[in-house]
Amino acid sequence: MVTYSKCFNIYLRYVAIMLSFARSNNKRMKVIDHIKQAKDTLISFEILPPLKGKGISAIYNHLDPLMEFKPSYINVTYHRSEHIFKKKADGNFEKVVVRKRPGTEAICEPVQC
Amino acid sequence: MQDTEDALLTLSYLGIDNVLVLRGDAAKNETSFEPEPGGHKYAIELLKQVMDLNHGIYLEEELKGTSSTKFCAGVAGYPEKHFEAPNMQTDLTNLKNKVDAGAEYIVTQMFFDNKKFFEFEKQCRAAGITVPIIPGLKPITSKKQLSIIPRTFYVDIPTDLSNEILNCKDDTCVEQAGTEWLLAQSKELKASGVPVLHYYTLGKPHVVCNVVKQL
Repeated sequence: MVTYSKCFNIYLRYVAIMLSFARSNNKRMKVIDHIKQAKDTLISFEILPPLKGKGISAIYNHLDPLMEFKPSYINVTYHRSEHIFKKKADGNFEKVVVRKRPGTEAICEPVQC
Repeated sequence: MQDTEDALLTLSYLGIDNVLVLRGDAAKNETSFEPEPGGHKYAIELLKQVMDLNHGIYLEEELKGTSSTKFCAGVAGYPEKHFEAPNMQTDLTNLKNKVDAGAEYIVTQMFFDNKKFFEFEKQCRAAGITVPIIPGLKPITSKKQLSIIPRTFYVDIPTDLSNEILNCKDDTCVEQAGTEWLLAQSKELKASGVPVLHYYTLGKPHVVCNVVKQL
């Protein structure tokens, strides 16, 4: 799958859950119910949490044009942390853990509204 | 496992009832996926944990039946086979096992040739998989993707599409060709009666907008 979604820190770095949330008149709804009740082909999108440093407005800018099409649900991907090796001044390498796109669950909250 | 359980509870408290359960990729600097110690090796193991919580089964036995979650779980399907599956038949059996374990729908890996999706759908139905199958779609917007996509996602790009893109002189032309291809794919899938068109928009919302607008 295109993304390797989330879960939860330490352990779930290796497992993935993609959070989808469905919306219908602001009522909580399951994806399967959207499908069962649909009269036409539904549309859904997948978004990534913004790169660290970009801020949450990046998500709104991304989503604004898409919301016109009333997606039945939106997936928010989860991104595991990675470790990289940074060269230090003394020529040695230091192992650094980075998570480039944190905030999966938190993104769902404003986007759901 | 404990972290997963806690995370699932957090999600349920946040009012999130839908999860798409995926194993996830290998770390960038590793060639194959290695679970954390005690962690899940396959998506189905995570799925079973989600379903257990739906049945009020916690890791701590004493908590059994105290309260349960209501997750609706989707899983991934691979029209062009998961790259680690030995063959298509085994991959379909794995998918069937995920559905039998409680997955309520399937979202596919991206594909650029609808024939591959239709064939996959047929094979799923023949294997007794009856849940909705949602096609996953992605626009091609740059020449680089012609090699990145096959390398990353293990899917083919049809000759007609790759030729068209290779003949382009600039990015606008590539985006135009990618948009038209995606639109044609979407229209055909819609006409075939798929329940949902799922777009991997990933940084290119305007391309997807142009397509959906014309559906």
